[in-house]
Amino acid sequence: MKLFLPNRNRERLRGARLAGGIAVVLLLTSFPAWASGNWPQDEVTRNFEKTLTLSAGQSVRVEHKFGEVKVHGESGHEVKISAVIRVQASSHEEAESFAQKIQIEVQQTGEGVSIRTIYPPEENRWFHTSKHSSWSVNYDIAVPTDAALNIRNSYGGVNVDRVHGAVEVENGYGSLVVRDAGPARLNNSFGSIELSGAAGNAIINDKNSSVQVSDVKGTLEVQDRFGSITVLNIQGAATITGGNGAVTVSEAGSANVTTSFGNVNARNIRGDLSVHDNNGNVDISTIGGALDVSDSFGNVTFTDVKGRINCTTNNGRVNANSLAGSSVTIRDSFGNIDLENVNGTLDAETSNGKITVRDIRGSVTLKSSFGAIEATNIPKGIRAVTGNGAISLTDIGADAYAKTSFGSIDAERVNGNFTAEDSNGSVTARNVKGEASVTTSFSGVTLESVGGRIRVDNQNGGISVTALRPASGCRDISLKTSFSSIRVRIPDGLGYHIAARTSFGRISSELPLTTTGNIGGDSLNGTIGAGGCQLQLTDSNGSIEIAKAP
Amino acid sequence: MNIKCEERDRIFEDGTPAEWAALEAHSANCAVCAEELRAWKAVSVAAKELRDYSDAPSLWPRIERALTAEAAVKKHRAERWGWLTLGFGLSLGWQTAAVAAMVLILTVSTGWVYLHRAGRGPGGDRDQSLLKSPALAEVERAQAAYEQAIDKLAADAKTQLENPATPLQASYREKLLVLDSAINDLRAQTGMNPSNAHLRQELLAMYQEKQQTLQDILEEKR
Repeated sequence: MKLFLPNRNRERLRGARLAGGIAVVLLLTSFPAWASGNWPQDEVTRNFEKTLTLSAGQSVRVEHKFGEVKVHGESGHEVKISAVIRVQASSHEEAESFAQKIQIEVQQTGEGVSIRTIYPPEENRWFHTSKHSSWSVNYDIAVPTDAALNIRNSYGGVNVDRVHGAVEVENGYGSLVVRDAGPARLNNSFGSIELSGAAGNAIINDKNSSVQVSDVKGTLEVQDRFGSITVLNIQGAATITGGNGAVTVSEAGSANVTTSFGNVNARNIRGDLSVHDNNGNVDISTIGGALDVSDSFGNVTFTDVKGRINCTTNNGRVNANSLAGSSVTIRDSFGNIDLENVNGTLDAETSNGKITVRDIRGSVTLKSSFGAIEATNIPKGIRAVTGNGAISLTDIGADAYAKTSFGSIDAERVNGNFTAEDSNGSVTARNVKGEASVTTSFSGVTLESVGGRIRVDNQNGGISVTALRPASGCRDISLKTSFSSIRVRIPDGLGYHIAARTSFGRISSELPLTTTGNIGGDSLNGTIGAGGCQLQLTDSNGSIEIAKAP
Repeated sequence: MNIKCEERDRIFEDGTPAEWAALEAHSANCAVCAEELRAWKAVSVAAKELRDYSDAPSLWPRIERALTAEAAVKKHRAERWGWLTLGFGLSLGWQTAAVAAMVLILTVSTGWVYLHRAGRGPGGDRDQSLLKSPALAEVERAQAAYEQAIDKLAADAKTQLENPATPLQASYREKLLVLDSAINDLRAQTGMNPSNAHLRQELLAMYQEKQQTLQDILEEKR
């Protein structure tokens, strides 16, 4: 088959053929070299073994780099050192020569046993003449279980198991795993730390990797700048300082967590919990003591907290329920607050978020600037203030105070007095057992089934009021508005002294009344029944209607 | 030791370690020899990968991922530009493929010959403290891929890194400084101890973390 290719492609084809040819030639010419094992990679392994006796109270110290250190506790008093030295070089002779130059220095002093790896000083020079050379030394050391241990290692992992004396490890560039130890002090840079089981206090410091700690009998201190921290089952207090990683704490005597740019998850803390986070979500549950939380740019959630709560956050939501402590204080900005089932007093404030609360058994104070407020089932009363949001209050067992501008106020079933201060929103209240006092403008006011004294001061909005028949006597009613109508329904059989006045409107009454003085188009003074309470109705440019309550 | 270009092929065949070192030094200043050396190493590594296949470190999933990602990028690129070759028929591709297949057949067969002749030898205890050549080549390829990806990401994130606008960006910058110091340290160590598997693994882990951090910075920017 004849091929027709553009010149450029012919050149490419020639190039490809040439490359292929060179590859084949090179392969064939080089074949004897690597087929005969001459490719510069030969490995030598040398083993080191030594056993010493350690007296009670003495320690084992290891100083090493370029390899793993494994230490495990054994019964008895012996320190059994086993090391494997591996060297890879261009030739067997070179590898062997270098392997012989790697020394393991073991010294026994009054303090205990010291083990040190010494690499030949020509290490660097050797590199320049044999580029493919490499080495590692791995240790496996058995020590008495009650021995104290001190390890310094770099460029390799450290693994310690069943050493019940004080364990101190400083490692770099490798993972650090310690299991079933005594008091532990662990430092690592650029490697994870895992500690499971420490009979005493534990101090952990990591720079850039994850930390996992579990089953510490004493207190715990953890610092980790750029890694996640997971802590489980700490008998004492846990103090955790994180950086850019998530923090998880579960089952601790008490806990103090400081971090930023990471989420915090804390649960089952028997005592107090303190969390300070920035730029992370905080999720907390089942805290036996008090809770202090501060956060920014993250959401905060907490449930089942027995002690008092103090929560400050910026730019994040706050959600909480089942709070049994004597008080809950929340300060937020630019975030919604949603709380449920609170036993003590509640003081919650947010700048630009909605506040929703349900089933709060203590007194409640809520404040927002630009958010709505909703409160349900508040037996001890509520004070709700917002700037530009609606307020909705339902099932309030005591007094209710609501204040807003540019938002409506709705109240349903208030057992105490109801006070509403609004500027440009409607006010509606139903089933208020106590007094109702309302101030607003530019919107309507509707009050139904109000048992106590009623006072409405409105401007440019209608008023519709229905008074309940009180248990005894009667209650004063004072309604005032302009440029809109007033309609008041009062129970049949109660006596009122009426003073009604309007301009450019009609005054009418469904109930029989006795008038006194001049009867003019714009005012009416008189009595309903035997009189008694004051019924003051003041309007401008609107009609006034007096009707019988159903 | 000084060597000349004409000695190159002999050194490829049966050069001593000292001659190899001298050739490497010579190649630093000789483009022709450098290219030949690179080609020789590439072919030799490919062949050696076959005979040392059992030593390939299975503990390097991240390398695999990096290589897979690299392959995916290449595949994507090939698919993107593949239509250009359709108009020219299959001849060029077939020619190239044939050359590649020939190399592959030769390397497979020589690998088999070597395996049957040499067996596994005393070093075949599957210890992975020191990497064999093919594994090292894979690691270096992964490292190069990371370096390439990181350079690109660093260029994209340059503005945020130079003038961090948020505390988070400042924190990322701090983290990158820490990672860079670790990378420099590990690179120096791997320069002296190149086949030490732990050093290589740590270095790749640092590269991976740096890449992830840069991606996080760019993600935050969006």
